[in-house]
Amino acid sequence: MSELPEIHLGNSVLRAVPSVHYRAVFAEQVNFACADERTRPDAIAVELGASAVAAICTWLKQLGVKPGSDFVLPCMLGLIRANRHIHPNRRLAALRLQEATGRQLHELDPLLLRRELDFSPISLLCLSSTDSIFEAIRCAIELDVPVYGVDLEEFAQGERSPIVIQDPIDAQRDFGAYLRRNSSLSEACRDTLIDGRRELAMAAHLKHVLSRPEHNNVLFVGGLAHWRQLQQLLGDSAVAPANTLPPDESRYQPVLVHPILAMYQMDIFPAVTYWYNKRRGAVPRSNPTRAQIDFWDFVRTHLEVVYRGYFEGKVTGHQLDRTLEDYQGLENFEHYLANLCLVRQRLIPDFFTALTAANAMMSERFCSELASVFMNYELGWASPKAFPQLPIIGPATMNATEEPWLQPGQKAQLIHTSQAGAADEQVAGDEQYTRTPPFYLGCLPEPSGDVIRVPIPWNWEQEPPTLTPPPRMSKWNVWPPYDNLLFAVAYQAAEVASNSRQGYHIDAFESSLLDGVDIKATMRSVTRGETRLYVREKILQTVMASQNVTNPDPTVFVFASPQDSESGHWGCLYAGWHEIGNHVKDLDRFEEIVREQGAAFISAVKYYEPLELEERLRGYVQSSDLMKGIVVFGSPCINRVQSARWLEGARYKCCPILPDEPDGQSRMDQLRGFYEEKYKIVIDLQNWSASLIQFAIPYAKQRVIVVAPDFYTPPPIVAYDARRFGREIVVLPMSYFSASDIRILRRQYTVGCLDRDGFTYPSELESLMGESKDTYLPRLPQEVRDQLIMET
Amino acid sequence: MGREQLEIGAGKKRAWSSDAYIPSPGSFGSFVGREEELKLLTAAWIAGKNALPLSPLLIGEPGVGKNRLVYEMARRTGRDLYIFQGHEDVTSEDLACSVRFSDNDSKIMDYVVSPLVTAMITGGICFIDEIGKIRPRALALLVSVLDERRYIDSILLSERVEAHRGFRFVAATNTGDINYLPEFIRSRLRPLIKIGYPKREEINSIIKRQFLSHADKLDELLRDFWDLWDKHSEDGREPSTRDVIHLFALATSLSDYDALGGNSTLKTADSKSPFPLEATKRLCSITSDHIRMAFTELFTGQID
Repeated sequence: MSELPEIHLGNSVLRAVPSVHYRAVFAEQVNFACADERTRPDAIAVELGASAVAAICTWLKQLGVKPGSDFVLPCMLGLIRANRHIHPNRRLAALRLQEATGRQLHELDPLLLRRELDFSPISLLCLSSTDSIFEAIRCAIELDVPVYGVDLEEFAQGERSPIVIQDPIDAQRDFGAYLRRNSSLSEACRDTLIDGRRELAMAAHLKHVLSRPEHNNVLFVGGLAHWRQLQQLLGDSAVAPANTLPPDESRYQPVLVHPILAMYQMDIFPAVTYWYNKRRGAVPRSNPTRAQIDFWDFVRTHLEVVYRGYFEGKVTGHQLDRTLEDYQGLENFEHYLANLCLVRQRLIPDFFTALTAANAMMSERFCSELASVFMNYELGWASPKAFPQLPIIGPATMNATEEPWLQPGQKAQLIHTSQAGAADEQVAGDEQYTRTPPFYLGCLPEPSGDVIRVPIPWNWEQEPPTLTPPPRMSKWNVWPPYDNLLFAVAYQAAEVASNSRQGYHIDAFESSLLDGVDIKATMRSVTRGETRLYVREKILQTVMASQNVTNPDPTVFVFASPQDSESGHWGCLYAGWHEIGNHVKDLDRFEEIVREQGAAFISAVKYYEPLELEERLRGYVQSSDLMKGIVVFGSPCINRVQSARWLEGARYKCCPILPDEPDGQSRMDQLRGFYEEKYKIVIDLQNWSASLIQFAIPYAKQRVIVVAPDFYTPPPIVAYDARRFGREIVVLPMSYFSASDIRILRRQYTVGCLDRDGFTYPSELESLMGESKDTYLPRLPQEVRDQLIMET
Repeated sequence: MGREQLEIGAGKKRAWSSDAYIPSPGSFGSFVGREEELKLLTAAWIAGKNALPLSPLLIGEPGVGKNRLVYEMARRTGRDLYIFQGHEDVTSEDLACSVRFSDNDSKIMDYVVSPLVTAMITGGICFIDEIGKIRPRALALLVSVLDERRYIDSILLSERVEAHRGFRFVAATNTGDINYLPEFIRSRLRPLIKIGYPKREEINSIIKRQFLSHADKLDELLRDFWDLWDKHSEDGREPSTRDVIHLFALATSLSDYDALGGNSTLKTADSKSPFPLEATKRLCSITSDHIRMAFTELFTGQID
């Protein structure tokens, strides 16, 4: 065991473990000091208020911590208390705020208080096994010695400067040397206005404890940043011992802490807390030392589990398979991770650094796998079922403009199990929950170091439900963001194809530079000895892009390999049925079309593989399909107004129109029959990529754009039909587009809509799908977006 | 502002370099915040014995400070910065080399290597700004630069140019253009570094450094600005640094205009007593009214 700093006052000796909060290395030192007969204290003092210490002791004893017992604490439990103090630097701002609003501060929105005054109305104290202060209190109970909270009970949150200190893991090697090197460095994060008072109070209270005749050997555990000041104050005779210790006012409320909030107080990742909790060993014990945590082994083991889970048996050669790309990028990921540790002055990657590297270098799925492995707290997180009486403190839902990551000082809310009839009640199954309005949360003790900003793609299985039972749906539509993105990519494809058709006319320079000097022609001229300047003029070649964005050419997407032998399903998507009549301008013409051809207006034909629907989506989502390919005949049909405008604008010639009922056949047989009869196109559905293109050909004005895997060649039958109709087939390789866009387009959800015209969706859908229903809408041309709005 | 062009070796040929970009000393001394992003970028560029530097892509809304971050990295790493501005008319050869008629009587043409190739030859930093605006086919030449080959083949030069050990690459795109970047390039641009809106305190610090002449009133003026912004932006969206700098620049101009006589002087001005267009010194103090007028002009689009 390392030598701890000692201060002798009178007949007593004070040993200290100045700590970096929430790091197991320091908790280990406390545990060793209490286990070792030579240093075992007869009293313990910690950097917390008396009430906080009393609340922790009471609760730990209720949970089963007692002398001589090894007890693995559930993770994560905590205590919360209300804050009343505003930082002295914010007093003027507080007065101005009261003047401007005409209200007292406690009547104002907590989010406003945070923004204007940096004030958190509630502070959270986690019972984290890896925090040295918590370990000290636990040891005091096990040793059955008194434990004193010597800090002020309440103080404003400090304004802390970021600091760089050596990785706390280095303290494992030589604790004394670590303290010597880092005590003064860590002082830089002190807020003299707040911490000066606290240190004075701590010194006076410590002197009081040391002056008690029954305490000859006291262990003090507090923040590293305070230690040098405390040493000075303890040695300063002008600082008199306090007359009494502060009373316990019992102002703390026990809570269950959501893992996403808890993990900031669980060392470099949650499993460390579990390991430490399990292996620490109650005090006193015969052998004071224990094997120290091998952090590097921890990280390596976890990363290997991530790699195995993500890659094993899952790497394919398909162009859209990001697993292969991730596999190839693994070396770069590790290189970047190592470099990030270097620039962040860390010996071992922590969870956030690993996630930052993954977020920047790898796919979303890899990040999810990483988060899931690193958050996998081996015994499982303490659940609301095990502690039904406790409110849960969890992260508050972010609004769309907020940064998605959480961090210390984060936005939180309290979730209570509640009686029926309470305001903003959420009901799911048998349980009822109420959520308080969101507020910003302070931490006790305050963490130091970098604030890492990275989203954590992980869901808690025990998450209290927030959804109401699904409403009765009027219609099932494709989830609008899918349509938005599908057509955004289709328009992008039309633009790429259009650009490729632009050419240049090159001529010798006479008077105008036109579109600039043509280097190649000029060079050729020079090599010929002619030495003339050649200029070029941009011209559009004979084939031009369809300029009508509201009635574009059809686009075919081939997502899977055409050789894909697994059979899929065929399906049609409809622009609408009879209800389109409510939105057309010329109702007579519409009724004539319906009478003569039918009311099934087909906007797309898809070839897909149905996927099993996730349980959480049921009731709101009807189906989830993995698309192998899809042909879209023209404009998106996000709602019926848009469908009506497209169909009417194209004089009902832009897509197949079939009778309402398939007349005993399947819809696809009916469609094949329609093409054969009307266009003399024979469609073999077995050859699915060819079929999709064939469906498009008769409705193309100039050409059919096909977005397909690189090296895709359309089958000969397609070329034959295209020639017959005088249309061109333009194949664009998928690598010209964003792979993430294409991946999103492979998964199509059919969701419930509250009205028949496709305007209103249940608000819960957005949180279930993780995106606004207007996602990707700005990527559509303005004319197409305008079609969505009903004319008044 | 640029550094003098040099004649350099490009493969076996001689070519003229592109100009390095040297930001004005004033802006170089005033970088605020973004320490986390600087760390991410630094980590991408650290190369090891067996590890090549990575080619990061900065993604963010216009005006949040992507370019400024790269300038700062160039300053901190002490390397020359070569900027290639992306746009729709860039061709693949533009990325490598162009030619011009020579000023030297003994030669007809000179090769001029692009900022990218100059950086590759000299071991500088190449920054392609707005890479999402370059058409996919024009970007094909970049592929070999960004992977382990680290060379570029120029058709015009008929040469292969290998990258210097010290060469570093970074690109930036606006969030809206990221999806126009073809996958064969996007997959090689790693890590993706997202540049979010700066914190209010950072914006305040930047304004205080850039508008030193109003230092005595800036706290109050900034408060006025944030009050207006909070009322204007109901959804909690934050302004970009560029937005706020523009607003304070406009407010300063409005205050100068008032000091020069404002509308009444402009109406009566003629060639004998012209309206002065240069505010050569701090003429009057910027007020809350100027902030309000500038805000209305820039953000709400209604001005009295």
